[in-house]
Amino acid sequence: MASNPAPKNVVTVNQKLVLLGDSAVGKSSLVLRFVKDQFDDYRESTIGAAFLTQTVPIDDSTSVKLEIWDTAGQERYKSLAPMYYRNANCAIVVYDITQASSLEKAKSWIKELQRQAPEGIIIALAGNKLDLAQERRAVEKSDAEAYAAEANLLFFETSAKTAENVNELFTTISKKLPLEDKLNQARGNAPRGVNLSESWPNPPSGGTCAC
Amino acid sequence: MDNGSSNEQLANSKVNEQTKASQDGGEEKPLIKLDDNLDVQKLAYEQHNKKHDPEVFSGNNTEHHDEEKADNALEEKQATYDKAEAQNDAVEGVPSTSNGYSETEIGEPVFDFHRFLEQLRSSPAEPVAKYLKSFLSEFLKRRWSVSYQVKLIQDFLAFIGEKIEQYEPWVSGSQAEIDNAKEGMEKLVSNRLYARLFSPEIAKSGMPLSSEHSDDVEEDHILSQKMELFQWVREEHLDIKRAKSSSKFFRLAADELQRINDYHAPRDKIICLMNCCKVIYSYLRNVVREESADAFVPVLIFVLLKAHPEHLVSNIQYIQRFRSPEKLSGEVLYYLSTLMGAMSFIQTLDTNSLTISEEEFNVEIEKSLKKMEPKTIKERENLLSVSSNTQEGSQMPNETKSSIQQEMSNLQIENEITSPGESSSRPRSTSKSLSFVPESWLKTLSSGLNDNDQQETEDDPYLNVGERPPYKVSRKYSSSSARMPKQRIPDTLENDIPPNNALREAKNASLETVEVERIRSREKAEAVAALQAMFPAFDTEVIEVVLNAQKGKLTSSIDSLLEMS
Repeated sequence: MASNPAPKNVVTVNQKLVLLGDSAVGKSSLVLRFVKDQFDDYRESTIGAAFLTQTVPIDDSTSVKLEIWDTAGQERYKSLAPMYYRNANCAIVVYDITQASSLEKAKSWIKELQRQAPEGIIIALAGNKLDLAQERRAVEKSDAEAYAAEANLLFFETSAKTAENVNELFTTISKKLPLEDKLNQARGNAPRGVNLSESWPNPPSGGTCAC
Repeated sequence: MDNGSSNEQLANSKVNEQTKASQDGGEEKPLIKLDDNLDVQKLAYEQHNKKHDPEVFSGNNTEHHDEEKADNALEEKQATYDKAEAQNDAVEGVPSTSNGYSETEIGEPVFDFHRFLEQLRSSPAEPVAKYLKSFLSEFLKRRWSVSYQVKLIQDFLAFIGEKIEQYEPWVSGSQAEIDNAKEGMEKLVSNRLYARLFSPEIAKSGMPLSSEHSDDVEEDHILSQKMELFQWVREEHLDIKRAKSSSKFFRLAADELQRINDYHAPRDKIICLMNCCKVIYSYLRNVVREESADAFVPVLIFVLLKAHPEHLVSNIQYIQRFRSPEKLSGEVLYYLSTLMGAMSFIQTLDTNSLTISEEEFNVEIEKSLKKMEPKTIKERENLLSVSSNTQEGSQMPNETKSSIQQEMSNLQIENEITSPGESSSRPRSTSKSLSFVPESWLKTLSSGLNDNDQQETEDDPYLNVGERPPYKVSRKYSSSSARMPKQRIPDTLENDIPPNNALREAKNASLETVEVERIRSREKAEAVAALQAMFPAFDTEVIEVVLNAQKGKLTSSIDSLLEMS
């Protein structure tokens, strides 16, 4: 929502997060869980759940505003994905621990990201539906973990339903983002810092200037 | 400085009223039951109104109209609306339950174009108005390539933005006031120069097209043919859940999208898209009860096919070129990208894209092609007559191809046929493939300022101006404005201000006023009709009351009416 999310001396850096994975693995539930569990003050209104934002405090002087881009997971929309991961700073690739095929799909997304997405993109692999682990687990945690380590990914098993590991997933990925350049730019550019310390209804001077 | 609004009206007098309200609702069961107690309803929508008014993309049809057909006579009405809104604010709001994450929204300040125009006409603002006038007249003196246009307008807006901060009435106003003026300036400039900036308008005027503008027009045509080819696609082909009310939602969403051609300012075009998306979300919330991209994208594709808006590629390009880069970010960029995704999906649509058997697909395509054939030839001829620098006609095959595949690939590569004949300074055309549309957009999306469009402007002081990327998270503020010789514009151009046209313009203005009023009331009638089709159980009066309370905003009115059930 719209209030000033942070004290004046906190620099907020906008970062784009793209959400990939087969349909029905719970991509958007994961985000909704994350966004709804946060303080309202850090939230902006959006017209619908396919695009959400959430500000994550990193330290005393820095926050990351995640712009979360959901993608359609159905196979037939696979070719649209480049539209979404263009300029992404980070990605969460979601699979369903009760569906082995969804991990294979996730792996193909990860390959594509590593080949096509912007260099330096931070990728996390998330095995969702952990609440169903007891009765229906089809992907062993150790297997997915080993794959993630090998492919140099962050890895979490999550449950959008119980919220287990959901905050951890988003917070860890936010903290891993390389922000130095943006921060330097922000501080050097303080009076005009456009994409930074952007607050919604009443931008600081020059904040969202239309020129 | 009187011509501020009158030129505005002139520019808008051509506004095309193609949108027709959906009337096809009668036979279906009412979506909403009418509550007997009108007072309760009034209270409900007033309360509802309070929380919906400031939405970032309130379905602001009225806002559009007020701005687009801006004019003094309307201001009185606007004042009434403002009063109504103020009253509504006094009513205690109840928290929304329909939509968990937007119930606490505040939204961005309401954009008030009238206010800006009035300010611009005030005497302390005269220098700003003069700069504007000079820029416009200078811009119109020559034809510019797209990259020049983008550069000139971007630099002018940066320049005038600084001036706005220096002159009254803005210098002593709030930051919101200044931002409003900058937003107004973008709108004013794009309205006035629309005939030179929007590719189909240039084509219509008969002026020779630059290569980029001509590309836009060609791609419009190809996408349009594709959309026509797939008109038979139904909800189930895209696994869209159908409900009794769904066709009305889709029709309404399509109507909103079609309006994109009714407006000239990039911001307004974006609002049409956002309104369309909002209606789709109303459907998702009420029917599917899920609003992920998994659910949203198929509906947008379907709605796009049904809307079949003209000049869509040109519109997207225009938005990317002339919307302030700072504003073309975040949510807006997401939905613009999704629309582009939907367009590329349609471009490359085949059997595997749909839930359909190959036989059925082929039968449908065959039927479509038969229907399209005579029309297509005519369209090709039309296209030929407007794009003077293409050799399309001579190579256009007229014979009927028997194989569907051949026909389809014809549609796809038609654009390539035209390319070699055109000027050699078009590196982009040669790399065009079957999926050229997404490719060129992706390039635009991802490219930096130093793009490969430079050949065309080689001997040019602004060498490094490629097509600007519409979005960069780390965009540095106005890095380009530094290159603009700022003093030069006002100094050299001020002399060119034409003699006093105020009288003539004022006469035109009063004629415009009548026209604007007429269009406006017709639009309202259409909105009422559309709502009535969706909510047959409500009386017209109730719908009108709701519509007024929502300041004519269609999507908010739908939300209200839904909530009143």
